[in-house]
Amino acid sequence: MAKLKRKLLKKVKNQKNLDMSKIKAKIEKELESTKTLKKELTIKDGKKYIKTGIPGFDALFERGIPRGSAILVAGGAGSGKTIFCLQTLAHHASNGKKCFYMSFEESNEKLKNHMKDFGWDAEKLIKSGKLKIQRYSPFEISRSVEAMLAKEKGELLIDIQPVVLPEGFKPDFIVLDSLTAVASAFIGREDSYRVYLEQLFSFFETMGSTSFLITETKQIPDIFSTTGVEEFLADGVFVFYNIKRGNCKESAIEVLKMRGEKHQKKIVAMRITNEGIVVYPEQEVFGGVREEK
Amino acid sequence: MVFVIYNVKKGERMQKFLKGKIDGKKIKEGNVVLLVTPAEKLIETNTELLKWYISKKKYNVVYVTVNKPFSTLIERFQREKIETSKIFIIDAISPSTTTTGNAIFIGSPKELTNISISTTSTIKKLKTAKILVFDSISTLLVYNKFETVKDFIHFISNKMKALKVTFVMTCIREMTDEKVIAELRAFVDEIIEIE
Repeated sequence: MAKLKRKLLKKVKNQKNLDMSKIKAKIEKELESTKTLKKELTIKDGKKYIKTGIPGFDALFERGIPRGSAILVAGGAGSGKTIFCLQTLAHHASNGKKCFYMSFEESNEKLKNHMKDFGWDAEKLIKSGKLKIQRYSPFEISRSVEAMLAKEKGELLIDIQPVVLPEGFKPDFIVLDSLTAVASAFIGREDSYRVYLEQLFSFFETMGSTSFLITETKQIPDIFSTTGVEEFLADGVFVFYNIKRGNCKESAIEVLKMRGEKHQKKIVAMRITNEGIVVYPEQEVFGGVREEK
Repeated sequence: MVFVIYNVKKGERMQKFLKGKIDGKKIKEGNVVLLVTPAEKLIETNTELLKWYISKKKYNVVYVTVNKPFSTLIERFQREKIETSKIFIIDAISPSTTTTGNAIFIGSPKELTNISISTTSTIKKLKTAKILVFDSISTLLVYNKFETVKDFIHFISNKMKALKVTFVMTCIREMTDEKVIAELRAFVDEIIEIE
């Protein structure tokens, strides 16, 4: 901390027309962001753990999510998967991390507006270079798989990546929305989809990015992905429940699996508020999650 | 431990009873109380309870209703000259889902998890002396299975005990099976039976 302070002071001394109050404010701001980042990253036994910044959610883990994990975010329509991912990215991008949202469904504008609804300034984060949102077509991905298969057979010499990231942008966090949309481009070619999945998970692992892969399921799911293979390949599975009680709905969340980290093993209450998702780690869900007939 | 009161007259014996039990330290902070009352005396009993805690004890009351809507309750309390600014209502029966200054609307008595979250967070926000009144367990049983209601009561009771907040839940005798009342006895510290 002292070293950083000296470095910042040296940096501002070289500037002309010094305004001491502005300099002080700048130093304090930079030191504060360093403190925040330290809080975000817990290091234990050489392993690094990250927080999502979602109120109540991080308390479900002993230390946090192991950095570099690939996590399946599963749930039905309207259960809060996209909000969860956008909220996590907004949190980390605001703290100086590079975040990338790959959308196979919604347009960039829709996603930006979605963030705005919760008070997360997407435009500002994009301008700062910390957040990128890009729309992909599932069919482009499907075509690149053919090239990947050709590469495996030795028919192609160039390296093909399962996804093309923006040039010069190495994200710390990636959201892929959604694997279900990607799978739809492989109908009738399930084997190719499995090859693609393996390549994708291995690509994210090599990148060292922490990734969140959204999958669309039933409102109360029994399986958490299109083929069931995804949940075995993933390091973690977060399940979102949309519970129907008469004419009303309640939300709940569960950390089903998190490789390399102890976590709470029960379904807990969750709410989607005007400021985003809030998880209640001590609040059990009365009546369970199964839909009442 | 069962406390029995016979023929409580409006504004008299219920308050006298409460004076004896509360000032005599028999109902302690953090105790869970089951108030079993005949249907025709439910409103009167609740009103007397609020009058005692708000006017005499200067408590803040968090009042969860699955029985009468917010507007009806406020009208009634104002008529009885109860200081309504000291009552925070969690209304799970009105169709509205908006929030006003001193009320939260849940939407349905089936949303037990949301009722629990709102109740706990409201109690935590209130700084001064407070009490939780639940009106009523009998109505809650119309909308939910007994097993689920039992989980709910057990959870809330433990939360209130941890927060040292007295939790009074009302129960309408005619609407509630004797077996249910007998099972509820296991969760509570006191039972007040109005006859």
